[in-house]
Amino acid sequence: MPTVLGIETSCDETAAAIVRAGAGDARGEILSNIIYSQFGEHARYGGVVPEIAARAHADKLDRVIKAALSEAGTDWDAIDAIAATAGPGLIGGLIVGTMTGKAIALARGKPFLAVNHLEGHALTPRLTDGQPFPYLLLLVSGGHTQMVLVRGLGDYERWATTIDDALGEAFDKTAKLLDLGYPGGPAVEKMASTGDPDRFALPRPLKGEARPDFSFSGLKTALRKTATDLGALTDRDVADLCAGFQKAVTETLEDRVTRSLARYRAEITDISPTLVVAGGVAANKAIRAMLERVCAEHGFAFLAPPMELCSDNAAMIAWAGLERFRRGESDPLDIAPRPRWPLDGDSAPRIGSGRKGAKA
Amino acid sequence: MSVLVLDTAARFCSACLYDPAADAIRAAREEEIGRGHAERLMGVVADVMDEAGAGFGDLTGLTVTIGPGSFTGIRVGVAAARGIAVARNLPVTGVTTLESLAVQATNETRVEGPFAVLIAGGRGQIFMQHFSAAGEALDEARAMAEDEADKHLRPDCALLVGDAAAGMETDLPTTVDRPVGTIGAVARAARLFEHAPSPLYLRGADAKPQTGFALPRRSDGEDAA
Repeated sequence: MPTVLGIETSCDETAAAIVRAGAGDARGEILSNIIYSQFGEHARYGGVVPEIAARAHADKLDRVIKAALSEAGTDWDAIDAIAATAGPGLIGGLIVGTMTGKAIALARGKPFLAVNHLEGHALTPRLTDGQPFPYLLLLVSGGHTQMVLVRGLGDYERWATTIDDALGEAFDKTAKLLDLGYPGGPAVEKMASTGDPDRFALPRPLKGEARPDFSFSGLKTALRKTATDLGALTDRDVADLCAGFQKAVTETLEDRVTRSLARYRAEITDISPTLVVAGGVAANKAIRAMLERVCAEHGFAFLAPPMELCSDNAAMIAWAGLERFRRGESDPLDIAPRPRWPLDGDSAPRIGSGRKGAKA
Repeated sequence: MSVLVLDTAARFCSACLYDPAADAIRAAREEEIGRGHAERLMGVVADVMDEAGAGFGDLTGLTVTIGPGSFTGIRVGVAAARGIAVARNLPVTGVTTLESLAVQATNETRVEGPFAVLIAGGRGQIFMQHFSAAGEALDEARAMAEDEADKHLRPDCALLVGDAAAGMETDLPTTVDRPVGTIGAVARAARLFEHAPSPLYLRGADAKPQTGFALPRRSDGEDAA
């Protein structure tokens, strides 16, 4: 069975994993999945600092790879290919990951696969559950908020994306504003659990509009204004602001997701449609409960990979590499990392476009 | 013995295969590319291995330049060296760009006394270090403002080495107008100097902790201001 080493360094996790194709089963087998999170190094800055992330990847990656090999109890002879995230993401980390992967591939005479980070997320339900194509993927993380039709391997269509901030970024910025620490998602969720979600009237960006895209920056601004108008904040104010924010994003997300579910129903012949959710925001219980309910209402199966495979990890990169390797693909060692790399090459840029094209 | 030597710390994308026992370079490539090290380096390494007729299983170790230099360039070389090392279970020695220049200067020139190696660090800075005529380091590598570098020269300094040497307002002779030594000098520097294969940036990450972003708080008992 093909076995692949995966390397992930596109943001603030330094990760390596070894994944083997399942025997007589569509699923994969994760032999090891090592993640070194840098969040302690970025916490005091309230977000990921690209140069600090690049430095940490360069310091840690080889040890993380050694740990992945040793935990899998395997050696290089048992590895068939090397896969590394080549984008989209922060260029400093992408360079460290791809160079390390290329060097191993060259030194061991193995094929190299430059993997799109988003494709890693998109194919995770196949690794964990053997999910057949097609399916709909909602990716909600600190860097991305997208709805993607996954038709087949290498065949993706981005149906919706954020026109400004990613949802996880909105959580982080809310936490920063309210001094709740970083990463902000879990902190905001915890405060929200004790707050009154209806005390403050916050907007539901794009709710009701026909276009299926996402937007969160207007909500962020409204929250800042509401909070600033209160003067010095009490714990109750903070809890109510968090609850109001979480309710607003959950409602707007429900409206946006519902549109894509309806489109899938209308356009795709699929007797058992499935919505897959990936990304760190999938850990939010209120958002998850909403997604489960909406899927049930629309006759979709709801699939959320285990949390450690929802957020950034290298097992998904190894798996995406494995799927491509199985099909006889590999990439040349002069391939350049791509900080901007939309999953669907035809996607029209919505944000950060300019002459360099769509970010993701 | 067979050591693979890599340098991508500045505008060159270089590799050589060095035999330290015989002090012989078996094959070498030095390409002046400016940018794009991440794309080119594996091709340069493969060419060197082919020309020397060597396989990665024949290697006994690696040497890599760890800086100071281009942050991205340093990481390309360090990541590649450490990647090959983890794949072949080999030791990696780091040498600095300044040390490689010192070795090149002492090999090419008759050095009469202590000398300074100075290279352009960008952002109005110079990276500097002093070496003895025998090539031993006399102080630590440091970053300093360009217009203050002459004040930091040792009074007994007899020679200036590196790409920032000519810009100094002194009458001292200069040599080796480069940001890093030749790949042969990098290889030989590892006989005199030995660092962990971790980047030497000589400059912080240019990030400041954010303050004043969060809104003010008060305890629940207090009245609103």
